[in-house]
Amino acid sequence: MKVKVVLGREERVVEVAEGATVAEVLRALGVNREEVVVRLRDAIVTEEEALRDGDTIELIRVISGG
Amino acid sequence: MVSCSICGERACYHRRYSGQRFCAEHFLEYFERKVKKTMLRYRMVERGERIGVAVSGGKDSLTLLRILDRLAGRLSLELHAILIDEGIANYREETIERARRFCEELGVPLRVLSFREHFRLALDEAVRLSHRNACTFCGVFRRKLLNDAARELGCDRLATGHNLDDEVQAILMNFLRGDLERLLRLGTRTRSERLVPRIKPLMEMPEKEVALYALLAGIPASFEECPYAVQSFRTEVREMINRLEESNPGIKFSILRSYQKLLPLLESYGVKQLQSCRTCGEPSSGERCRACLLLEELTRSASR
Repeated sequence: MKVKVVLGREERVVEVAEGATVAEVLRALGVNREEVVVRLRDAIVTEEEALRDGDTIELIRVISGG
Repeated sequence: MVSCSICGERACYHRRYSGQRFCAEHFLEYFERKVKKTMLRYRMVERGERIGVAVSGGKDSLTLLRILDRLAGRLSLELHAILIDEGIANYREETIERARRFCEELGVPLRVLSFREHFRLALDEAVRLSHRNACTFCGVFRRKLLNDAARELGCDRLATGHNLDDEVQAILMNFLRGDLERLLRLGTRTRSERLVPRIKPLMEMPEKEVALYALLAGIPASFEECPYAVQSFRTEVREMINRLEESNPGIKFSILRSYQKLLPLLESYGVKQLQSCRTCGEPSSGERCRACLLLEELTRSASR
């Protein structure tokens, strides 16, 4: 199945196995779960959440200067 | 659907180091309770004190301000937000605005001090004049102005938004560099009457939890990265710690606890006495303070 991943202005589509979780998508992208919060269908979710084909997840980077 | 361990609603956070899962409501409750517990454990504040809160407009400092504001009534704390405008074009303007709006919303007075006003040059100009990286000037000058402002306002404490990740990175960075003096300074009390004692109420909250709190509580914080943030030693250390945390949840706490256990041994190594800077009279570990040395270097470069 295909999942769209949005990080800031970047967008990419990742091909993952049916029923894959957010954690698996992060692993496929080499993103450490400690460094992002994930939004799926307007809600913030845990990395254990299972995804559906065509889902879009937004990654919010928690490492910020300030 | 992944459920909250307390109420069964949809979970937004899995606290892997304890196995608990929280929905938004229970996460906010847990977070505030834990910050309060940390403040009590380290006796960070006393009833009736005046607290200077260093704010930048980022998630850590605005989260800190909101939590202190929620505790202020019960503990009769008087809060004063202090913001340092370093002079970073196309970045600071927006974060200052966010901080200003949030302070207004909470009814907390805000004092803004700028590098330009106090050192006669903005950080952008300092960077153009020097071979040093921006963080060197920023750290030294910002600490000085924060302390000056807190002292002028008569604050009993100066609260900063350092989170668990910041603390653990600093511990490992100093350890890896063999800088025992700085390693020791991280965990010891202020050694000069001219330094307002610092408190770090978020020091036991992982960075990810602080960001999540800011998002869920609707805090108008900026998540933008400072344009001067570069691939630095701190970045390497952060990535290493986060890799370890991913495969060993709870390791950040273990590093902090190990450091706290080692602290008495480090103290026997000897705390260097502070002296007064020959130029400005402020506390300094050498004859002249770092701020005066850097300013002199910049003045020399400017006149060349």
